[in-house]
Amino acid sequence: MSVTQPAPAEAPPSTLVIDCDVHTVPKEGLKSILPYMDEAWRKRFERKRANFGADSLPLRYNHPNGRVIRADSMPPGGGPGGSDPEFLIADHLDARGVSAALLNTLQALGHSAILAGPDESVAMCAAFNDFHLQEWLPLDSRLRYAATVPVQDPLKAAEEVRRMAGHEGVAAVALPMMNTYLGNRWHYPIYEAAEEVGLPIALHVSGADYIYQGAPVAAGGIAESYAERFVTMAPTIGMTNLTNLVFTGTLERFPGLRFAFLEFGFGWVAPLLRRMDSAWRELRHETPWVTKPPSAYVHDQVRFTTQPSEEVGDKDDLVRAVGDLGADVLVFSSDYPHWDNDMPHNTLRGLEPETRKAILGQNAVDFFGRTRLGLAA
Amino acid sequence: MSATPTEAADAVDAGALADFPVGEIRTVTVGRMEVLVVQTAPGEFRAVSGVCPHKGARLAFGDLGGTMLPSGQGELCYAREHEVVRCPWHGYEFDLESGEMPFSDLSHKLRRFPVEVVDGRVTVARRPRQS
Repeated sequence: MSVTQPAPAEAPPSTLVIDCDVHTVPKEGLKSILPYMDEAWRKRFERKRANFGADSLPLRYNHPNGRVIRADSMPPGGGPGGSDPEFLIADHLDARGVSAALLNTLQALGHSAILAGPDESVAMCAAFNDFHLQEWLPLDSRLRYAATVPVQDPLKAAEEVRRMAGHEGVAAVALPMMNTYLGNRWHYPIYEAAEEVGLPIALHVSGADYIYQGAPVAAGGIAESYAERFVTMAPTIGMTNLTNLVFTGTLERFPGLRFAFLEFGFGWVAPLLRRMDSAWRELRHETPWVTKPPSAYVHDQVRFTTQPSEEVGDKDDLVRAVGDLGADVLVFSSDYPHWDNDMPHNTLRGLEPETRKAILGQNAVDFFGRTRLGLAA
Repeated sequence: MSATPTEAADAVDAGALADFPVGEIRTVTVGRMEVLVVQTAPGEFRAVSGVCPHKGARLAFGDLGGTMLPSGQGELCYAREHEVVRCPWHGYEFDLESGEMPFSDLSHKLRRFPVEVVDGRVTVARRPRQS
């Protein structure tokens, strides 16, 4: 068998699988999205000889094995894994029995957050989004999209939210994080727009985190290796931002707004909720706009993807972890085509069938909505 | 403690009225229990059990004040002055009138005792209210 063929199909899953985190990358980098900009912005980026790629990482954070993208996800026609929609459809959606996949692009997130200037990021986000609307979504109704918005300019970002909401296939707003917490009022124009159009906010580390000023800063010090950053970065960014969303009253102020934490893991969530609830009971008078226990807001408005699910030696550990948190806040994700991905057939094994079924598919349907996921009513 | 002239079989003498300034915590022992006695407003008395049901702290060392009502984001609405005691350990608040934790999801509750002023003496019933 040629190594460039898509993965052989597995036994069809017996349940609906919604994959909430699949990564795309423009095949030729910035060049792929330049046609979606007007001439002036194309000239701007061409003169800068702008491009993007993994070379923006400092050496210490380069992957120890040389790449974060699976070798077996590389399309036969060239380009990185996640750059060829037809191959991705065959290699992931068909092979793994995925009924809907939420696409997001780290290059868009990083440039929106910090790598591009504010005005550049406005042009780039719109181009990234139009590129996906034109070159990806029409190919397969299972491809759904988290549209990246230019967070450095919240008013322009709100405009982009409203523009994207009108497009079939857009299921979420991809909001990159800066070194300003998500509950800061900077973000409120974006939240007002997202709540108005009914699109959830999808959160994901951008790759610029812990590296660039303007991106989320490291907690307590500087990680010395890829492994250190990999272990601590997403959970700590998730913890601080989730806590901030609760105690600033942002979730109270936008009761229709929903957040999906993609690839932040979930093992840390239950202890954090207990800690938040305790603090609220003891210090409620400091933030009286938080009118119910923090965990209640999270169960109402926040979801977490399963990947990267911590490897557990005993299935009972997984059962306890999920039971401790509550399966209602979990949605499945693979993180295809990245090296640390989880596939639906080998994820969450050991849970009760109904619990596993809910996490693999139904919870995401409830969260994003059947229409936004392209599923039949 | 020997019984005072106003102490009856069903009540304990807590002291002279003049020793209960509004807004200050005083204590009296009822059986083996320390009970907080507070004049919350002129002529208005509350008496509650003095041990926090959370971790057992002595509420006599807590702060007496009001609390913040649920409010809009960035707004503060202070109320219930002298009606709320705050535990010195974890800060749990208890409403002296209801004995309950205001606006909490917890069901911890202080026992409430009837208080009377008789002939210039403050007396606390030995039996707490039933509800």
